[in-house]
Amino acid sequence: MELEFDKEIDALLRKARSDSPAGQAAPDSDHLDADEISAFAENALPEMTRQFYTAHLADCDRCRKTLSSVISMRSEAAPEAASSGAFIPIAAAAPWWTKFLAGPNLAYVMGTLVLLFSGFLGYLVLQRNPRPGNAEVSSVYEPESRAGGPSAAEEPQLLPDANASANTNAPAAANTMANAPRNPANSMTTSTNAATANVARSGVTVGSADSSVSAVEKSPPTTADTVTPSAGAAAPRTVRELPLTARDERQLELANEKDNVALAEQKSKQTGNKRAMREAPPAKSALSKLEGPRQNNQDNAQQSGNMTQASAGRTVGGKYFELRQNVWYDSSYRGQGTKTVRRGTSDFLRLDGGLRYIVEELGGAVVIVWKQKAYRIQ
Amino acid sequence: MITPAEKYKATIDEAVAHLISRAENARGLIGDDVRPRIASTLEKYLFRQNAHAGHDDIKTFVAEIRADDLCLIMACERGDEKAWEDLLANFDSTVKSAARKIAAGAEDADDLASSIWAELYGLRQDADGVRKSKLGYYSGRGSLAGWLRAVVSQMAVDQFRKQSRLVQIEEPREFEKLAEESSNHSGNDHVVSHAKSPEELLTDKETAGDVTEALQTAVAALEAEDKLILKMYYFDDLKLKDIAAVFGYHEATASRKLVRVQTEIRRSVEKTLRSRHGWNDGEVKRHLSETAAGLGISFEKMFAVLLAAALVQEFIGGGVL
Repeated sequence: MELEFDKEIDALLRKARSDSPAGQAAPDSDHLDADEISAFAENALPEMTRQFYTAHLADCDRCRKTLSSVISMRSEAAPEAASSGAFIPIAAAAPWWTKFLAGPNLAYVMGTLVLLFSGFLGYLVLQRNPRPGNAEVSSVYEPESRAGGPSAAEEPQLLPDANASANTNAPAAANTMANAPRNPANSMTTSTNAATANVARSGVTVGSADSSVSAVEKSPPTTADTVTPSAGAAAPRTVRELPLTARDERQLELANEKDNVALAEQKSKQTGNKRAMREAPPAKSALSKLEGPRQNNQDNAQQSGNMTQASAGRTVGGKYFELRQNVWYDSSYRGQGTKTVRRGTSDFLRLDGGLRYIVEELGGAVVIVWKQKAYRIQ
Repeated sequence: MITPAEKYKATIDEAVAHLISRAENARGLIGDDVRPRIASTLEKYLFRQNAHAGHDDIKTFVAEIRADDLCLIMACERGDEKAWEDLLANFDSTVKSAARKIAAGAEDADDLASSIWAELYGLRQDADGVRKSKLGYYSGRGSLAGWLRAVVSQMAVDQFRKQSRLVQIEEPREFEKLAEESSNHSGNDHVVSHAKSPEELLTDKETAGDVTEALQTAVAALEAEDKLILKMYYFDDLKLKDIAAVFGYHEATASRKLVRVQTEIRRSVEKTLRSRHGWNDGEVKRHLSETAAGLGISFEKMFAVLLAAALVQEFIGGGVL
């Protein structure tokens, strides 16, 4: 039960202080001395001694008054001492940086700095190591959902789940081309169109009508194996990189080589050029080699190099090249002026990654048409 | 008979050595210098009230002594000039501040402070020519500043008691007597209310007297601690916070104690009025209420007389304690 302050008794007691009889006149020797009173006021006495002094103080007005005076002076002196600082040690003002480090400010600042630094590092890394086959390089064609959609000259996308169909339709395209009519241009166009139609249905990308029938699309290319499709004279294509499995690459190469073989046979039939016939078997041999387990890039380059010497044409990165006088010529090259770029120079490094990849694959001097510009890499 | 100090000599020596080691500035004092003071302090505060005090009690008691303050005072007793300089430098403001709170004016405060320092230094000599100093009474249990304030208070009381008959502990009673006397004089009729008849006033006065007597009886019957708390609060106008600090508990605890004391007093007063004067419950409550309400009249008289007494005080030139 909570007791309430009794106002009547409170008033009576306040009045009683004036009516209270004087304490018994104790001899001076019984009064508490200053040391006892001060020790009592500061609660600095043993319990039993304290009880003894309490009993005296309760009945001795004189000692109680002195005690109350000491208590009153002490309570008034405490805030004075705090304000004056005379007896209370004041810590030296902490420098500004300690306050900065003491609070949570440090955590926020350090966190912000870490984020900024990480972002800066990431930016530097990206700038130094641009991904091969970036959007500008157009290693992978953009999906049909993009604005503008694929035009007739553009090559439809090869989606990851279309690998099987690509595997199926590419040979079909090749067969179609093989069975093309006698008119090479028309046949090529027809076969290309047919092939295009076939692969369009399957989602496999093939070469443009103006260019060779070289298959162009690689389904999900790996980042290392991303190749650039042939834009030829067609409008520049923006592509999207897709991971390319080893099996897909093999199949794509197989399709490309089959196309090359078919083309070479047609040429040989048309021109009666025995050289073309001689070039065909190496393509077949290359084809047979490619049907085996895929080698690493360096081995493939060597094989390609061997094939280069033995064959007149080669398809790399969706572009068809012919070797003439130890120079690889892009099939889309029409004799326009070229910009000479040497390997290892800063100009070479500034070239698109796809272009550099094709050049590295072919090796030697290469004349290539890239984004409607002709380059001579040597 | 072996005294406790002799009985626990080894423990006391060990405690003294530890005390000197605790002091930041022992001022050249050694165990033999300090030991007598510690022994007397133990006798005064521990052994006298606790005959069964043991080694642990002694160690705890000595460990709570303020080593630096004690060494400073003892060095001053030995006439160490540097110690006196430090004492004056650090505690002169404490003495002057205490003197200003007690003395009426600035001049009186300075005089009082000077008297204090003279008393501490020991300008007086006893019959043997030995300088008498109050420094020897400091035990180190309380702070040196608190001890100096108590010295100032006691000396002020002694001085004013000698100087003026009005400056007494029972001053409030004197004021009340003056208030009663003045209320009976025709010249002060404007101070006292004359709404009631003389018979009613006499009845009220007797009733108030009975209530007051019962109240005083109830207060006297309280436990020592309760009585002391009540008197410090009502008679000395101390704050509950300061009272609680003296006893070592929280202000809320002191407040609860005070309320409990009020309840106990009410119970005792009502019982006394019923038993001694034959009042019933209704009469008890009514008379208590009337007596408490009757303070308005009393306060009017009290304030008027207080003002007159203040003028008298100024004339005499004494302080109030």
